[in-house]
Amino acid sequence: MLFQRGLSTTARVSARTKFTRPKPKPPKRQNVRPPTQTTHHDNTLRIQAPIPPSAANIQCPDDHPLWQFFADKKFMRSPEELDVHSRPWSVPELRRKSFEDLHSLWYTCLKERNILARENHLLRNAVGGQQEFFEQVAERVRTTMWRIRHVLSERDWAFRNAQEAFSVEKESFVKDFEKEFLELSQEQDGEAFERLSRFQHAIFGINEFIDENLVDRRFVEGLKYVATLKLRKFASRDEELLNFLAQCPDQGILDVGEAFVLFTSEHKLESVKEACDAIKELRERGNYVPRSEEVDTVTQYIQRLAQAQLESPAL
Amino acid sequence: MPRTYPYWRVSKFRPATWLEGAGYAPQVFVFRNLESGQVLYSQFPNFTQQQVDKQFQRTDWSNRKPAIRRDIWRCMCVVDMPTYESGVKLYQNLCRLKYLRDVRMPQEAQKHRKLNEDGHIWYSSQYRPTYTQEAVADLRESIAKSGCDSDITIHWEDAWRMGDKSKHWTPILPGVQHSLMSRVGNIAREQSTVLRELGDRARQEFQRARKSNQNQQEGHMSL
Amino acid sequence: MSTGYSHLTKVGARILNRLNNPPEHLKPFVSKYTKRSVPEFLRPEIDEVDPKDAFETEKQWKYMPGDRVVITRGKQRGNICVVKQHDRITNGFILDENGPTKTVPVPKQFWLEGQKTHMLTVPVALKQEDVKLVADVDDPQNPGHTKTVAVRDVTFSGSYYDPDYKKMMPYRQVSGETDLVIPWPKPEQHEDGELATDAMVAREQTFWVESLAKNPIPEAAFLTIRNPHSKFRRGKLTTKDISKLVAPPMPLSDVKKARLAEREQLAQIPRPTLTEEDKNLIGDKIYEHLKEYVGR
Repeated sequence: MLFQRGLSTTARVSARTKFTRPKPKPPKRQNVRPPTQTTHHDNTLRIQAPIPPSAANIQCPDDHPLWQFFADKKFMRSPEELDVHSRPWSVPELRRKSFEDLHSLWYTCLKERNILARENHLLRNAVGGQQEFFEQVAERVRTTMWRIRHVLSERDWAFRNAQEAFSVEKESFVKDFEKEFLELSQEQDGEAFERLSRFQHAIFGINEFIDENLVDRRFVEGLKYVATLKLRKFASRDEELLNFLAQCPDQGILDVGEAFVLFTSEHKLESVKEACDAIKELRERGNYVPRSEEVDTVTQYIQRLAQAQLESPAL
Repeated sequence: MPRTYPYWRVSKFRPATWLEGAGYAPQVFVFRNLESGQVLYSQFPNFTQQQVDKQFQRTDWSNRKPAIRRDIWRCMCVVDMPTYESGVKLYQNLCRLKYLRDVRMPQEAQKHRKLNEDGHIWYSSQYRPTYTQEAVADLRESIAKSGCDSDITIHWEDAWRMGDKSKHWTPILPGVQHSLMSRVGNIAREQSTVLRELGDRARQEFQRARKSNQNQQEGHMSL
Repeated sequence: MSTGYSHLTKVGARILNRLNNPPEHLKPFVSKYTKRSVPEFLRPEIDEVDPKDAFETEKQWKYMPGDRVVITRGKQRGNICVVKQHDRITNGFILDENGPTKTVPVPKQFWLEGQKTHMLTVPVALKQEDVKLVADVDDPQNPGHTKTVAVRDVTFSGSYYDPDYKKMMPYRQVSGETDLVIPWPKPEQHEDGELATDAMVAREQTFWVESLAKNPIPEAAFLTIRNPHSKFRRGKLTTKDISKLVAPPMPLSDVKKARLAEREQLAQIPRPTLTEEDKNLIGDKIYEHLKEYVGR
C-alpha cells in the first residue's frame, strides 16, 4: 500500500465511485499475432468396438520357405492320410547308395520329421489329442536316419581298415600291375590306359576330373610314378624314347614338373615324344622344382589346368 | 536442405506451425508395447515420459503405466496427414479418445472388451490384446470424425494388425491409403532410421503438394 | 488339454518309468488293479507283456495274418481259423469268427456303425502256444494230391526278398523237416505311400569302392556321423566313471570292528604244533585203549 498512514477521510475521498470518468478503451492493436494453436479435438468422438486383427489382408506366397513345414499345405493331416505302411530303409539297402544319395535322403527324412513334429505338437497343444500316430511315423523315419549314420560310419571304418591292410600288400600289387600294364600290346592300348586311370585313382587318388583332385604328397608321388610308367610303355616302341629313358637318373622321372608334362600329354606316341622334347628343353634351361615346393607347384598347375578347361568347354 | 530433427525438444505438445518450422512431416505415430499391448500416441517419431504420464491417467493393475524402455516399444503405424493442422487434430482426437476410454467412460469401453472368467480384461501373462485393437478402432474413428478423408496414408507395421481391410476400413474411410512399413529393420535398434526415412519422404511429398497447389493458385490468379 | 513341450523332452522320464516298472513283489497287485480299472471291453483276456518282451520280427510271431491255425486249447479246441491280426500288447493272435469270442457291454461313444445294442461280441486273443499252424503238404500215399496237416512247430533258416511283404523274409520250415517249406501268407495289399521309395530306385547301386587314397566320406560329415567326444571312444576313464565302477568301502559297525580286532588278536596267538613226542603219546594212549577193549 502506498500510504501507510492518512487522514480519516483519505480512503473515502480517494475511492473510485461510479461517477469516476472511465479510462478510454485502448485502441485496437494492428500487429496482433494470431494464436499458434488453432485446432481442437472433435466433440463428436464416440467409443467404438475394437477392431480385431485379421489374416484376410495377407497373401501368403506359394513359395514361402515355411511351407516346407507343411504337408500339402494342410494344417494337420488325418491319420488316414499318413503313410503308415511304409517301412524304414534297411541297412543292406543303404549300403548300396553313394554318399550323395545318402546325404539327400537324410535331408528328405529330416524335412519329413519336421513336418511330423509340427503336426504332433499341434495335436498335443492346439487340438488336445493324445494319439501317437505322428510319433509312430516319425520314429520310422528316424530309424532310417540312424541307419544312414551307421552305414556311413561303417564305410569309414572299412576304408581305414582297408588302408591299413593294404599298406602291406601295396608294393607287390603295384609291381603286378606294372608288369601286366607293360605286357599289354599296342592294340590293347585303350584298355591299358583305362586300367591305368583306375589304378591311379585307386592307389594315388588322382582323379580323371581335374578340379576334384586334392594335391598332397601321395598325389605328387603318384604323378611321378604314372609319368614313368607311361614313358616306359612307349619306350618299348621307340628307340629315341628308350635312349631318353636311359639318360634319366634311376630310369624314371624324378622331377614333378617333368612328370606333369608327361602326365598331361595324350596317350599317343607322338604326344609323348613332344613331351619328352619339352622335358629336354626344361633340363637344358635347368628348370627343377625343389622337393619342398612340389605340392604347391602342382596345386598351381592343377588350378591353371582347371581354369583352362573352364574357358574352353568345347574341348 | 532438410533440417536435422531436434529430438531433444519433443517433451510437450507442439502446434502445427512449430512442427512445420522444426522440419517435421505432418505425421502421427502410434507405438505399441510388446509386453502389455498398451498403445502410445506421439507427434514425433519418439516419445517421452511426459507423454506416458499424460496418456495413462487412470492406471491400475490391468493398465499399468508402462516403462519407456526402447526395447519393448515398437512402432505400430505412422499416419501421413495432408496438412499439419489435420495432423495435430488427429493427435488431439486420439488423445481425447484415450481419455474417454480411461477416464470419462470406462464402463462404456469395458462393454466392448473380451473378459476372462473372472470378469477382468482377457490377458495372457501381461499381454492384453484389446488395447492394441482399441487403438486401431480409435484411429479409424478419429480420422473419420476429423473431417478429412483424402490424401491420408497409414503405414502399418503389419497388415495383420490393421484388421480386415474390406470390412473395417474401406466402407468407412474409402479415401485412406494403406501401405506397409519395411519389415526389415523395424526392430528397437533400427526403428528410428525407418521412421526417419518415412518422415523425410512424407515431408518431401507435402512440400511438392504445396508447391503444385501454389502453382495452380497462381495460374488461377493470372487468369 | 495342452501338454506343452513335455512330449519333446526326457525330463522326468525316469520317474515316470518307475510307475510303469513296479518292483517284482508288487507286480501281481499292480496288474490286478490295472485290470480292474480297465473296462471289460478294453481288457485283454490274456496277460499283457512287457514292452521289451513284445514280439517284433516274423521269427518271433511265427504266424502272420492270413495263416490258418488250429486251436489246441479251450472250448473251441480243434477249430481251424485264419489269423486276422496280431495283438501287440499281449503277443496274442486274434482269429476269425471260428475263434474264441466274448460278449461285453460297450458304452455308446464306442459304438460301431450300425450297432443297435450295448452288447457287442468281440474276438479274444489267443497265446502262441495255444495254436498250431495248419498247412497243405504233398500226400506221399496218393501222389499228386495234398493233405491238410497241423504243424507241431516251425523253424526258420535263410532269407529271401519277398515282393509281397517288400522286405527280406526268412524261410519257414516244418520243425525237423528242413526241406518242407511253408510259404508265408499273402499280406493285405496296400498302395505305396508317399514316403515309400520305388523298389528299382532303392535297389540301384550307386556306391562303388574306387580309391584307397581318398575317403568316400567328406571330412565335414564326420561331426554328424560320430560324436568325437563320446566316452566310448575316449579310451580313458574319468574320476567319475571310476567312482561309478568301484564299490565304496563298506562302513563297519562297532560290533563288527570289535569282532575283527578280536579275530586279529586270536590269529596272533601262537598255535601249538604237533611234535613227534605228542604223536607218540597219542599213539600210546590209543594203543592202551585198544589193548584194554580188543584184547578182552
